[in-house]
Formats: sequence, structure tokens, C-alpha cells
Amino acid sequence: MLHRRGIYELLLGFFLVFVLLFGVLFFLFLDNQTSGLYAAIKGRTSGFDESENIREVLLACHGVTFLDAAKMDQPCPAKEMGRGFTVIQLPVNGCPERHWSYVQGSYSEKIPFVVTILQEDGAKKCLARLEVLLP
Amino acid sequence: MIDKVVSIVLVFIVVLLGGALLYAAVFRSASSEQQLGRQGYEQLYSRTLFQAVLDTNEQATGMTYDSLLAAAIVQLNTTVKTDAGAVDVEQAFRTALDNVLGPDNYYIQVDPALFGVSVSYVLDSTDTLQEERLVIKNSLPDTTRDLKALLGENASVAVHVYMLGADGCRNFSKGLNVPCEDLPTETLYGSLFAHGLSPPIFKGYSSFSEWAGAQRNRTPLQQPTAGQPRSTSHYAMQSFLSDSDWASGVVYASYRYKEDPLLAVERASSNLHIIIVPADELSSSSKADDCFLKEKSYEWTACAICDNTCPVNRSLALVTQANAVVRKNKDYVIGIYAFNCDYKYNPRLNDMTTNKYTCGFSDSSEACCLQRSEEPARKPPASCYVGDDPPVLREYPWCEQAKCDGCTVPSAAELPPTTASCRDTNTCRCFHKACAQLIPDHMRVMVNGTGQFMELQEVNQLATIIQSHVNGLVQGFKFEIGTRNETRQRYVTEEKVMLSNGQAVRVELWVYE
Repeated sequence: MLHRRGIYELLLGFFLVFVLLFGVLFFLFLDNQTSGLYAAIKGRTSGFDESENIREVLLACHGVTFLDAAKMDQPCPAKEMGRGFTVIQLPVNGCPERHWSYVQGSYSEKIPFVVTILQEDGAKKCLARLEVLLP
Repeated sequence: MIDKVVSIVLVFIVVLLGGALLYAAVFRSASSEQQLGRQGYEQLYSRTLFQAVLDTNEQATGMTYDSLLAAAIVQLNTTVKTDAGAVDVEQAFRTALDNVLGPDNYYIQVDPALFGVSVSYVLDSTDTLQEERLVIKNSLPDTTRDLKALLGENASVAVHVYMLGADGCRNFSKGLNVPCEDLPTETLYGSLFAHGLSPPIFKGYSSFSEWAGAQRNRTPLQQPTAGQPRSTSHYAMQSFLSDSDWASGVVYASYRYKEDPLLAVERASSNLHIIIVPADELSSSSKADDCFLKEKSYEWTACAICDNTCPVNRSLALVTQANAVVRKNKDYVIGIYAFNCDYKYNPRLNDMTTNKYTCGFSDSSEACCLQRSEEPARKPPASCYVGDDPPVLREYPWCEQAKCDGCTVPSAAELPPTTASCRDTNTCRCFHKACAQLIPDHMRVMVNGTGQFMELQEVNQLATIIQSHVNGLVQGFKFEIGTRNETRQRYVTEEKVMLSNGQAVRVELWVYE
């Protein structure tokens, strides 16, 4: 009887240890997984906010409500610009397609806005796509 | 044994529940935060996108999209007229948005959020319309109030009065807080000439200027002086035409609203210009062309009162001209038929020929002449001068004509049902009764395709008629680009956008994923 009881308890003990180990590993796995997802999601969430801030800073450096083609060679301080930005003037309404790019490091993530570009002669404003590159 | 198995199962359940709770707490909150961030970004993106498009310049006209959209809403038409020609505003926006968002990747709808109307009254200042002007004057505050109530408290309702003649506003404006402008002949016809248009033209003359030049060679009518021979060398003054030239008055009001820089603010907050014009005679009067060619004052008077030859061509040319202008300027014109046979004021006729104009008792030329001699002297027939040298007795034929409407008190059956004020006192006169049916015809020509015709007794319905027209315009104004696809995943922004001219629009933009 004692022998049989010892086997049961031994099996149960092993099983309990196995379950506890599995639980620890499961928590570690879950934490690892959610942490990665959480980080990714949080990163993207803050990315939208940050891109808006970058856009505001950039516009403030130019014309508040528009980018000034004459000032495209004087970008805002790069430290406030994430990894940088790309501006693509769209070929619409007789405006030529033009590119300005201030990219630091490797590509991270870009979030676009539509802005206007005051042409150097001040005669008209053209549509452009502003892509903010996040760190 | 069972208790141990149960305890193991419980451990499993606890572990799984803990994991699930951890997952839900961390991941879901992060996920929803991400969703909110994305929504906020998409709304900002759409708003700044539309604002950026508004700020840019359209290629063909050089105008901003903001100005084009404002013009489309003011004109309630997506094809607007600009200095550079007609522009399809919807197509212009489509081109820009296709480049930004890609074709078939969006749907946009723009609705006007504010409505305003400008109402211009064009009133004939002649004596025959005196009572009708009073009806219009009394109805004016109610019409303005009703329009405000019907179009909404925020709607702009501006009212102007243009009075044909040199001095009609003085009386009309009493007790009325509405801007009123007199339109003497030179102002009214000067405006027509400035726009390459023509005042009335008489048969036998190629232009108004030719007739006016011929008139200048005649001696103008003099006011009678007691004891002095009357002047009979007379020419019809231009004001005899312009004071009742309501069609040219409509043209003036139309251009004034469209071009006057002082009305720029009013134009910006008004989607529709409405011109209201009552009339009881043909445009430029129902007096026959021949009357304006008479040289003797008594001939003029006789013709003006008794000649029932209606100046159809003269008036028709004016109303046709007015119709072309108001259609071009996109005005809405309401013509009010006001022929009421209630003429009982005669100062102008008194000035010209008589001390007291009363046709009824002038049964003989002598009596008539006596009546027209200077009262109360009652000079003998020989002193009844009519301007010839030596003075001779002249007949005053207008009172002796069997069918002179101007001299005949009409029977009750002949009076229009709306006539009231003169019926009881038996003082009604139906001047140019033969032209009565032509007046609505000519009004219909003028409002054809751009307005409405109505009777004077319906004047209290003006606001309702205008509102009905406005509702039709708003419902007919469609500014939609792309396809509204309910089944596609999308981010939707809906907001009120203020245009640079103060107009507000409601913009609904769907950007498909």
C-alpha cells in the first residue's frame, strides 16, 4: 500500500513540477510575445503623434500653413525631425514633380501628409506629399 | 485520487486564465490605443489634405480651389463662370484628389451649410402704380421676416429698392429701413449703354439716340403761367419712358448686384439674387410710339390718354433684353402683375395741360377750352391760348373720343377683381386697357427660364415662393466625387470648413483602406 502510494505521489510530484515549469515558460512566452507586440503597437501609436509634431515643426519653419520652396534648403533642426522627411511635389495643375529628401539613417517608418508648396516666384501653390520618417 | 486530479486541472485553469488576463490587459489596451492613434491621424490627414487642396491654385484659371468652391456654392452650380471661362469645379477637385489619394480610393461630398439671399425690388415711380407701391411697401418687412424664418436665423437676407424716376424714394422710404435708390433716366439708360444694351427704340428710328437727338431740336414743354399763352411746342421727355421702364430697371438691378464693389460682402454671403418687379403697364409705358413723336402738348396728352395702340415691339425688345441679362447673371426674377385700373392721381397731367384734369364734363371743345383756361378767371374762348400766333381755339379731342379709356369711368364689370380703392369712390380709370393682357405676356417673357410670374394679391406668398425655389436649388446642388461604397473599409471625416469668403461648407470625406 505504501509502495503504491509512493508511486502516486512521485508521479503527481513530477506532474506538478512539469505543470509549474510549463506555466513559467508559458508566462515567459506570453510576456515576450505581448511585450514585442506592445512595443510595436505603442511605437506605431506614438508614431502618429510624433509625425504630427514633426509636421507642425516643419510647417512652423516655413509658412505655418504651407512649405516654402525657397526654404527647402534650410530644413528645420534635424533632431526635431525624427529620421527626416521627404517632400514630393505632385505633378498636378501644371506643377512639375519635384523631390526634396532629408533622411537620416535607415528607413524606419513614413507617415504621409498632404501639404502645399509655395513656389519660388510666389505665384502659386502646388500640392505635395510630405512623408515623415520616424526613428 | 480524484482530489489530486482536480487540483491539477485547477492549476491548469489558473495558469490559462492568468495568461489570458495578462494578454487581454496588455495587448488589447495597446491595440485600442493604436486604433485611436490611427483614427486621430487619419482625421488630421483628411482635414489637412482638404485644406491643402483648397489652398492650391487651379491651372486654367489661376484661382485657388477655395475660390472656385466658394463660387460654385454662391452660384449653386458646379460649373462656374470665371474671367478665364467656365470651369467645372467638380472635375478640378477630382483631378487634384485623384493625384493625392488615387482614383477610386475616396469619396467626397460637399454641401453648402449657409444660405443667404439678396432681394432687389424694382419699382415703377409713375402715378398709376402709387397704390400698388404701397402694397409692396407694406409687405416688405413681412417678406424679409418670413425669409429669415424660412431660411434660418443664420441666413443673410439683404433687401434693396431701386425706384425708377428721379424722386420716388423720398416718399417710399418713409418709415422703412431699407436702402432705396432713385434711378433717373441718365442713371438707368447710362447703365444700359455702359453694358452695350439699348433703351427703348421707336418705330421710324434706328436707335434711342437718334430719337433723343431729334427731340432735342424741339422746344421743351414749359410749365403754364397764369395770363400767358400756353406753350404747345412739346416733346416727350425721356423720363416718360424710363420712369416706367421696369425691364431696364431689372437689368440695372442685375448688373448693380453683380458688379458693385460695395456689395462684395453681401454677394459673398448670398447664394441667390432675387429681383421683384411689379408693373401695371408695358415696359417703358403703354403709351403708343406715336405719342412720343407729337409736338403739341394737347396732342401728346390726347395720345397718352386715349391712344390704345400698344407699343408691343418697344416693350418686347426691352423684356427680351432683360431676360438675356438675368439669365446670364443667374438672377431669379419675380414679375408681379399689378394692373388695377385704380389711377386717380394726376399731377403730371395737370402740369401739362389742365388745372384740374377731369375728362367727364368736357363735352364740347369750348367747354373744354374754358375748363383748361386759367382758373378761376374763366377767360372767354378767345383767350384760351394754345400757343399759336395769333391764338386760336383748339379742340381737345381726347375727351371727345368715344373710346378713350383714360376719360371713361369703367363699369364694375370691367374692373379687375383686385381693384378696391377706387371702386367705392367711382374714380377708377383703366389707362390703356387694351394693353392689359400684354403685360403678363411680356412679364412671362422676361422671367422665362429664370423666374416666376404672379399676381399682386399673392404678394404675401413671396417668401414661400422664394423658399420653394431656394430648396430646389439646394437639393439640385450636387457636389460628389467618387463612389460611396459602404462595404469597403474606410476612414471617414465629416466637418464644417470655412471658405475664405465666409461661406461654410460641410465636407464628408471617405478614404478607403
